[in-house]
Amino acid sequence: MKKENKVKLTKLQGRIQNSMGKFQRNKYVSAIAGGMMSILPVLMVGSFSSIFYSLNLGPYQHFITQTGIKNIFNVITAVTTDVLALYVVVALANSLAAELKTDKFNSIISSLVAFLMVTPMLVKKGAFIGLNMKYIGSAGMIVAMIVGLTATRLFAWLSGNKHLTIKMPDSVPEFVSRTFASMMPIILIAIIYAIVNFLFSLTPWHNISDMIITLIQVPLQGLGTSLWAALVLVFFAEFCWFFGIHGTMATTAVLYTLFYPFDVANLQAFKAGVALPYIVTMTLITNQKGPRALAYAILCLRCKSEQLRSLGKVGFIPAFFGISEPFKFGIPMVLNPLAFIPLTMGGTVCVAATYFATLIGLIPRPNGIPVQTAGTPEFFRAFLLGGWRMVIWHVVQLLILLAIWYPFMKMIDKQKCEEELARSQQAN
Amino acid sequence: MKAYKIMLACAGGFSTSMLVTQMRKAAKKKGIEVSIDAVAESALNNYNDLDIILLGPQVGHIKPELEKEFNIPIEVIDQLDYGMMNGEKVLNDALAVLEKSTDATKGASKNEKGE
Repeated sequence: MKKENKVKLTKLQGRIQNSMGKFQRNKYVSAIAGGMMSILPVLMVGSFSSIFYSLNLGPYQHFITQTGIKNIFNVITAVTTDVLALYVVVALANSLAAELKTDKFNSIISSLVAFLMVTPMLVKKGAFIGLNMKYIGSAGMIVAMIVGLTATRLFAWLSGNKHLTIKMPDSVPEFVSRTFASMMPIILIAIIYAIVNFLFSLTPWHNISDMIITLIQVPLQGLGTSLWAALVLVFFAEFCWFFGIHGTMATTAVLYTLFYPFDVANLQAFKAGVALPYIVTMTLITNQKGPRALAYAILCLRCKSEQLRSLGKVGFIPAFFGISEPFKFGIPMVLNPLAFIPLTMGGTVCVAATYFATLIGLIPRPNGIPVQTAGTPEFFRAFLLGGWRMVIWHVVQLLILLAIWYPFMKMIDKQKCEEELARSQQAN
Repeated sequence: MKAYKIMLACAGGFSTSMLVTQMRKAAKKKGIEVSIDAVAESALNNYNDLDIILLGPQVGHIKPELEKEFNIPIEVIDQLDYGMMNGEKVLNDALAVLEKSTDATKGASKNEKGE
């Protein structure tokens, strides 16, 4: 590569790194990503109990129904997946409170009050008889995020205002005075969200949840829109990697906000035993980019260059657990023009192929288990995502990736061999 | 001398934890007492007793933002060392930065070795 091009590329990298850094460490973006990751155990427990509830394996169903175990799985899902929005409010309030360095507990209380304030309730003969499960499950997740973040921000702002806090004499114990200090902010937050809820009741949607569902979730779940949105996100994530930025992580907050609710909806449908409504979900986007690390390892091991071969050895086992960093930085792919096309196209092609394979019924739709790409062994991960058919599909993906990378890897190998030869001649 | 607390951070704490294993091995070989761990970068806020944060190069772009939040040296690990999981080299680099920052008067310990 020409020297001036290299300088330009490095400059561009600096600029992209800068703006991505600002985006990712933005307090709200970081609170969404951190908050959602903090309730991962709840998501896992919920999804596995759904799967075990409706798994159809010979005498298994008969056994769990007879022993009453099935009912236990039912209860576990009901208090996790089915009320996920409640956990989301608490988690996001907690993580944003940490970012804003304000009182965590009172932020959570404020957010919970605010969320319940704007959530429609079930009414029977003029009396409230309970929360409407529709709005505290997957459909309520975006509202939960918005309210968790705004109410916590409001709390931080109001509690920082000296005129609003009720001061107690010094002789009052700290715990009591803290309770009084948070009294006014929480009362105000309750009133603000009550007004917000009233204002939304005047709109054609009647409440904020239905507005979000109509304006954001319905257009997004249109098949064409969702596929293109997904492909753009995947391409963008890999494009970030070219500049040395962990692209998947940079897009985590967006994925959880827009695409995770579809996973939860699929999970609920799976449990109910009805057809799964969505193809493009967060787990499809994060998990169907193909076993890339494994492809890199295999290609490196077959290279002639000493460096690439030893990299293949160092990185093979991590690659099996979906960790590709050794290759991204060891080959390197970062800022390597020869790697740009296969790096950005590999994942994108695999996701697109997965979409069409799902559409024509070759592989099952995403079951909604939030399988983690890093740390879960390849092929076992595929099995979790959709049984043996998915395992075969991941082998197909591996072949696709090898085919895409092969010509480029050959060029990289040739380049490295020449470098190594030049170096050994110099040494002599 | 108190044992240094070194914290590595990347997206999920997975790939850095592989490097941690290599670094601990290197530390044992050198016979120095040092605590080395890895976390997801989003969890860094939970720690306030660290001496240095080492970022995986894939999250190097958050360094300027982290420097506003933490008052300790923050370094981005060298790309090739990271790729080849060269624990010994990364440990030595970190120790060099730590020694320099403890020698320098506190507060003025901003690292000038930006990668």
